[in-house]
Amino acid sequence: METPLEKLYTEYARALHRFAVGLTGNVDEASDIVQNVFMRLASKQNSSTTITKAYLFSAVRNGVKDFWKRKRPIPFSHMTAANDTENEMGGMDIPDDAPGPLEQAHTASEFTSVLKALQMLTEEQREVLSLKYFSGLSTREVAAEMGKNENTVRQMEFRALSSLRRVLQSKK
Amino acid sequence: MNNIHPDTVAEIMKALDEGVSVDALVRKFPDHRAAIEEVEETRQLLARAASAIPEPITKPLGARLPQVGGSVESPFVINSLFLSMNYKIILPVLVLGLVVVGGTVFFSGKGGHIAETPTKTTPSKVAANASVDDVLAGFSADAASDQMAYADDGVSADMFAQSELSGFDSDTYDY
Repeated sequence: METPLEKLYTEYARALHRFAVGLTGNVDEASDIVQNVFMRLASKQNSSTTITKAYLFSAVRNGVKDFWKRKRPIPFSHMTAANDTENEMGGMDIPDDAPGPLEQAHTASEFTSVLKALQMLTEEQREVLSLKYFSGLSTREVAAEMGKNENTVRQMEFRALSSLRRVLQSKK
Repeated sequence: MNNIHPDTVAEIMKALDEGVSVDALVRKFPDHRAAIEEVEETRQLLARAASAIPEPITKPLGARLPQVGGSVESPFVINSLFLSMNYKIILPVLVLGLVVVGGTVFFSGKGGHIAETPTKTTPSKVAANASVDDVLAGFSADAASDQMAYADDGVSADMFAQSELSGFDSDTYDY
């Protein structure tokens, strides 16, 4: 018979792992982060803390922050593309015959490219896309996780998608 | 793309979430055709990337979590092998162990064959080898006994040799 913690694991481990993959860009690290979250929960099983879905995502988010603290900081020059989210798309000269992001997806390295591009986005943008597309949360759930209203999340998502596309095109 | 009114952006994103087609959205927002198409392309790209995320290598949680309130099952082993998922370390060690065990079994089997080779020689070969030795030993013994017999009769070794040769010759020609 499954314990409550095991039920949580069964239900959320996959979504949490995928969320961590999006935030870290590293599949193995994501696994370790999620495992550590459940390990800590197991050691505190007798405490009165109510473990909710939001709690788990928040714990993974904190685990990811620890991960980034351990990692080498990203050079500022690499971050400018992400922070330029308000730049206009018209300023970029994209030839018509250039392969679009979907065509790139056919290559074996596409997954890695997307993960790397995600790391160039702002933390919030990375989070909204990871929750929505990797963890499979609905806009309402993403809004709840991020403490924002749904329309704000949609606008954030739109800007994040635009930024991601720009980063991918700049890498070509 | 970013000059679109925030409410329009929200409406477009909501419509895409609800499965409204790009064509229908473009008909509704003809001025934002490029933005809508690009956003939808990127959404699909992310969805494809999401499908490529490998599943984490995990065991059922019950096998990894220490039993709170009960006996803790070897926390060192659990922590170091399963819970922390150090399979980068575990896997090479397991592979190395398998190679060593496999190699030991293989070579011990092969060494056994080498050691057993003489005993696995067919009886006929053993008999053949033994008979050659026996024949050679027999020849030497016969010659020695003959020489001793001649010596007892007062025949020297040279005379014995000569008689042997002459006997050979006479035997040959008499035949």
